[in-house]
Amino acid sequence: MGYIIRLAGVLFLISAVAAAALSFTESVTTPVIETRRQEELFEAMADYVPDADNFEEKKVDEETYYIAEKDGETLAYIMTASATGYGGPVNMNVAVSVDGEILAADVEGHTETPGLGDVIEDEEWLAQFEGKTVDDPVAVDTDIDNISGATVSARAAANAVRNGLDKIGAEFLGIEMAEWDLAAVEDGTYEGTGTGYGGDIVVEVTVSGGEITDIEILEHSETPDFWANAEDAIPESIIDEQDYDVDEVSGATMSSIGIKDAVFDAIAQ
Amino acid sequence: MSIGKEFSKGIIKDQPVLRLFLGLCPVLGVTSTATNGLGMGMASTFVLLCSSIVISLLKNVIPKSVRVPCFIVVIATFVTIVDMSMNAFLPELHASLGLFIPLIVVNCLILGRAEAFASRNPLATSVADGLGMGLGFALALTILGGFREILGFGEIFGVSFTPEAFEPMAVFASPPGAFIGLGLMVAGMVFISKKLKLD
Repeated sequence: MGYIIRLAGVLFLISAVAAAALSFTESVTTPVIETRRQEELFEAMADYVPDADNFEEKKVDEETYYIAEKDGETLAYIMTASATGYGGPVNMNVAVSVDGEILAADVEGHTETPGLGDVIEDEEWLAQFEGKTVDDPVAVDTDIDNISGATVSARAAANAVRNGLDKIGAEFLGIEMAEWDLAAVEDGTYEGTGTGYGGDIVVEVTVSGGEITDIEILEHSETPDFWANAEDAIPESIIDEQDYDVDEVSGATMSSIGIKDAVFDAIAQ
Repeated sequence: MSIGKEFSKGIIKDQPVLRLFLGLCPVLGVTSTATNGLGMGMASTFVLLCSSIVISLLKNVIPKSVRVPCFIVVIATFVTIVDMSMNAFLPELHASLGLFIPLIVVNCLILGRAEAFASRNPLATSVADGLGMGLGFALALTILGGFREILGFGEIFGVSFTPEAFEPMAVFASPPGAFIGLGLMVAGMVFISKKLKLD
């Protein structure tokens, strides 16, 4: 018994000293890291909107927006928006002018495959976003070039920019975002499109009495083995929960997101 | 054995990478440039030295049956300190070494030296051993990183020095280049150890 207590005691003491040392280091380094991140962000923002003399921070619903001002007049809105890529979230800084035009789109952070997915950092490719407006599709293969070998990453980057554009549009420019409001949808069938791993996924959603009763896949070009995981599971859970935002199926994340987006597109029109 | 011998054995005789083949994961993973190799080597040396000191001091306190968890806690603490400090003060190096910093915890060289040496020897020799092994590790990483950087990018420590006609060989910048480079270095080490009659 005494032996066990001695074992636990020694391990406990060592761990306690370790914890103290770590919390001390953390308290020293965190402010430095935070300050640097802030500085980098402000430097980046000064790059996007060179005329601005002040950046005002505004937090709305967990999102942080920065309002670029000059002499008190608003020039542009900046935010970091996110979309799911191949290796995790792709975060993009998006700067949108008061006229709803993209001034700059830049990669803030990503975990895509080095040597493949990281080509989204290419400045020439990113420059395509500049000048696009809230009325443009801002989607890969329409007005943004695809990158061969990095399709999923390129799409994620474009989706993130689109998200940022939508959010800034809704928050500051008075543009209505498509909303998920099942109760307001009249009975009938609606078609919607989303993007999966291999291309467009088209679904037909049947709504009856304010509820989704059926989801039929009309078209897809996903990889068969992976598609089989998502094909039935995602529509089933959407019908169960009466919500598009259900858990993705592991092993078929991109296909799952494609179906969810397609259902959202069908209902939120 | 003298302290000087404990120190120098890490450089040639028990060279951790080329003779003991310990900690090869970071050797292959981060040596795309000389700067990365040196940074990783220095971070590992710091952890190895600090953990050797602490473990050598605590060797009579730590009971045998829980020694490995104790070692790991000590090592992990120093690795996390390195990780956080590097993130704060050397952000560029931290960004390029990335995930490999926290992975120093599982570098078998460090746990290996703690178990085989620091926990059985007095403080002074443990310090010499940790420092020697760490610097030997750093030396191997820097040479491999330099070799790959020269052939793969035409630069050394980020400075371009090759004539314009030199076409960098991308294979040395990518993972296969690490294996090829390490293989050549091991071959060189075998040659040297035969000459010096180390075996």
